[in-house]
Amino acid sequence: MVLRILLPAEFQDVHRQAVLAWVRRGHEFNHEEWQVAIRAFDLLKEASVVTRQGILPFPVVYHRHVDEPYADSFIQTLLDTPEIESVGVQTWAEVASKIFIELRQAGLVPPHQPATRLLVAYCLYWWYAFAYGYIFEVQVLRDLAQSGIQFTAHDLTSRQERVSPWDLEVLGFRGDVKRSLFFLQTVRGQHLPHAFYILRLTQKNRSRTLVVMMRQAMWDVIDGETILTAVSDLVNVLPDTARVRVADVEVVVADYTLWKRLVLQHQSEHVEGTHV
Amino acid sequence: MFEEAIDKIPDRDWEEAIAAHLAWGETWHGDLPADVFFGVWASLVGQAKPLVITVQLDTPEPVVTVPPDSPLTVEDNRIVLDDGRELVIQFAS
Repeated sequence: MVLRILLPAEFQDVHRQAVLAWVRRGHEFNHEEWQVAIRAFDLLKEASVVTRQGILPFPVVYHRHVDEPYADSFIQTLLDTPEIESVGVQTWAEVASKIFIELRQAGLVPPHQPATRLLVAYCLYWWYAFAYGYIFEVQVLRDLAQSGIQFTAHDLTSRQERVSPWDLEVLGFRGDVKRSLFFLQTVRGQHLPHAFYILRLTQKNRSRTLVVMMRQAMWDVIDGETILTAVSDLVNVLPDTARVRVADVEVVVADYTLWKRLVLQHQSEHVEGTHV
Repeated sequence: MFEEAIDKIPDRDWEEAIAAHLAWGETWHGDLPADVFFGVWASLVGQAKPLVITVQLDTPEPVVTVPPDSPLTVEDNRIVLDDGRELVIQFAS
């Protein structure tokens, strides 16, 4: 049976190209390519595959064939291991290498039906986002606990809590732990929904740096000193704390280690209030 | 910017693309360079902003204008979208 793929009207040729290019070389994308790819994978959330049994939206296929069988055990593996990164990467790869095969066995990606590749790419993208998002989150939560920071976090072993709008609360402020790519996928054009975001960026020499991007209100509580910086100069200012304006949004970007030190200092001097 | 569309390549190329993903996915985990991150974010925030069009009605004929930093342009009261399409607003009474 030839399966039909239903795509939203806005899904154009450039999005088809972006999806393939992401599978091949997403790690090399530039600014313009990410802009198109993020939109393409967003649009695919509205796509469906028409089967004998009926119309299956892509997110339903992902839920049945990837999230339901693998997500809980993946999280548990991360929580149980001292080697979060290496074990996480290995487990991501094991599942990713099965996705194409299992979708084919389920009859959703028959041979010689190239349109169904969009479904494979969709599942690979969101599995990649899930796995690397949680590898990072578990690393950060464990590090905060080991650093003695007082915080409350959602319970990662509970599927319902995992989808809570924020990941943790520190000093009464709600925040999220996000890979920088998936921050963009989640926040998109919104003005920062939460008070702070713990992110990892890379610098020109490819070394990785952890930063906390926060609303001024949180920074005021723990310190207040910043250097007003153009976005293009930010990499040169870090690890000093910078205040940058992105479109209409003004944010403070601080080095993660400095942020932890200031939070710890504040927590040792004050009783926590609520600043949600 | 990109190469072929995903449904236009032979099966073998598609299987190679998946193998490439499995390879780069082991070493690159979604941490963007700072300039790319802030650049994309600024674009997304910009796209999310409402586009303002002002129609002046206290003139003999309505006059359409857009702010100078708008991605829209106005030609003879026709609004030209950034993909080249034109938006014409007709007033009826």
